[in-house]
Amino acid sequence: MSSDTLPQSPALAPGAAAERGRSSRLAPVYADMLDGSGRWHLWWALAWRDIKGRYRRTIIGPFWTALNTAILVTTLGFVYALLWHEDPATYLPFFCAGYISWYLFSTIVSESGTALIAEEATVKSIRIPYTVFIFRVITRNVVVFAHNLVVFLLVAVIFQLHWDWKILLLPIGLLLSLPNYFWIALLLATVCARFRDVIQFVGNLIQILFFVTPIFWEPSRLARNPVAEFVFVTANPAYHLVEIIRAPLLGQAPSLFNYAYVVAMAVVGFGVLLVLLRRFYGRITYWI
Amino acid sequence: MASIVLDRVCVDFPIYDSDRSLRKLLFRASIGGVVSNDPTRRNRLTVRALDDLSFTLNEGDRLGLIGHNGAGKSTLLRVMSGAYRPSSGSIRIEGVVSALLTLGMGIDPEETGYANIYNGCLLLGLTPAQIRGKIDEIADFTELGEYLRVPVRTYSSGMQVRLAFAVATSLQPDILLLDEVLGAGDAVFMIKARQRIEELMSQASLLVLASHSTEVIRRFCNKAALLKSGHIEEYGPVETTIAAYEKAVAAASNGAAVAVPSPEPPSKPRRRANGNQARSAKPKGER
Repeated sequence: MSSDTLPQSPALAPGAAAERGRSSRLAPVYADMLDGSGRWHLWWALAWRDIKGRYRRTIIGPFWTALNTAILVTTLGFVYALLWHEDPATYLPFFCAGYISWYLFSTIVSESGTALIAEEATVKSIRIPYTVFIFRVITRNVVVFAHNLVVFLLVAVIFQLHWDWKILLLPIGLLLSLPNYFWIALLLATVCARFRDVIQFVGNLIQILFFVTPIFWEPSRLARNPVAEFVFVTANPAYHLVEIIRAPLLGQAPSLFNYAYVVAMAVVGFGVLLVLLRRFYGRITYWI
Repeated sequence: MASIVLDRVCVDFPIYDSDRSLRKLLFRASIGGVVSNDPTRRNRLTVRALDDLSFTLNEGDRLGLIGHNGAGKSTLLRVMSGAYRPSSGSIRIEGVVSALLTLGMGIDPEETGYANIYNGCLLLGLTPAQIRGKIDEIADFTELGEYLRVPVRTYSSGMQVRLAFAVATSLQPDILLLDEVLGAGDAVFMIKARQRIEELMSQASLLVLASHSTEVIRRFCNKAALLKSGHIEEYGPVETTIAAYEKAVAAASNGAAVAVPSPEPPSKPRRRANGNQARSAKPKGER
């Protein structure tokens, strides 16, 4: 950090003066991502503080997360199994795996809208990579996911799930979803800083998505309605992000299409993100 | 080598639909620069908080910023800290910057003093190993003793200043930016703060300090800038600038007392700066 230039009009940065092209305007964006990821001590501490803060002065602390999930999954799982005449022994693990994968997705999406706004005092006082606060939101929700995983392990033991090598696809699923969570979170954090209504909109969208995404119902139920199947399953990004984590948990392999969709989504998403940030990166602090 | 080079720096705060942030709009109107319409977009108000500032600070410079509320002191500090990127123009900052601009920055009232020191140092960019090496020194400096083990929400504002100041100056920055906060500590701490700053200065760093107190400016600075509506009215030796400031204050309060329109704009021109007046007031440069 010995030399530091903040060229708003790129003309003033020596070297960049000649090339006023897209690379110079994207340079601060890349630098932000690089610096931000390098400051993992910071976002790890912030994420951990968030989690601790939620359960401050409770006795079992973060295990409330797991307990909440356990209670919800068991009650809803049995009710749904009864309603639809499913076998709880297969339905409960399915619902639990789907729910915790969905929870990871939905909390990151809904919390990222305020990721930057909430840090107004910091962002307006010192120079700090915005991505620090994106990594923080993702990290704390991955930690919550890890707590929820304990619940799923219990469910898996109780219902004697059979695992083979396909469980190894779980880390792959997580690794492929994280870039997506990153671009979604940074995009939402930026857009919500400028347009506060988007926060409300995303909150609504997440609620609706829970019902129209195959979380508590199996995708095969729509097999006879191709239009609905396409809209709610095939084209639904939430489904693919859930499925690449849920399937390995259940000892199944996600389809190649799941993986292809998620990779394509990451590529397109990063493209959109960079187009947006290239134009507006220097304005973000003003919006907050 | 610490240095700050400003080249035609302008900062325009956009004012978005007032419903979103009526509070902020009012806030900016009462402290802000010149309200005007953004020429590039219709129906968009902007406040020009900094207007075409160019100057250079080098090692050993201790610049005091003075001016009325809303003259642009804090905004200038925030540009120097790198938080705000200029709307136009450029700034070049060389050296490690430490900014004590917002007292609450990164402080979690539920956490203990020690935890806040740790997190505050992380925010400033220190690694855990570096923090472990410094934490005792920082703790000593605060003189908060056992209070560091209890949550910060139990602290008085003066104690919070001690904590924040100790963290902000723990970095051995090349460039130290301070905004008004020194006044909140008690007399003993003021002496310590002064010693600390002088210690930092003796390591050939650069200080920029915004204050309403001419006494504070006299004590800490060797240069001063008088800001008014986002531009520099006076820049140079401390005494000259303070004299200009005091003259302006006298003129403003005179004008108010006798209710005679002074040749200079009154002290709070931007409060009246509504759309009509502002539109013609200043055609703003490109963004």
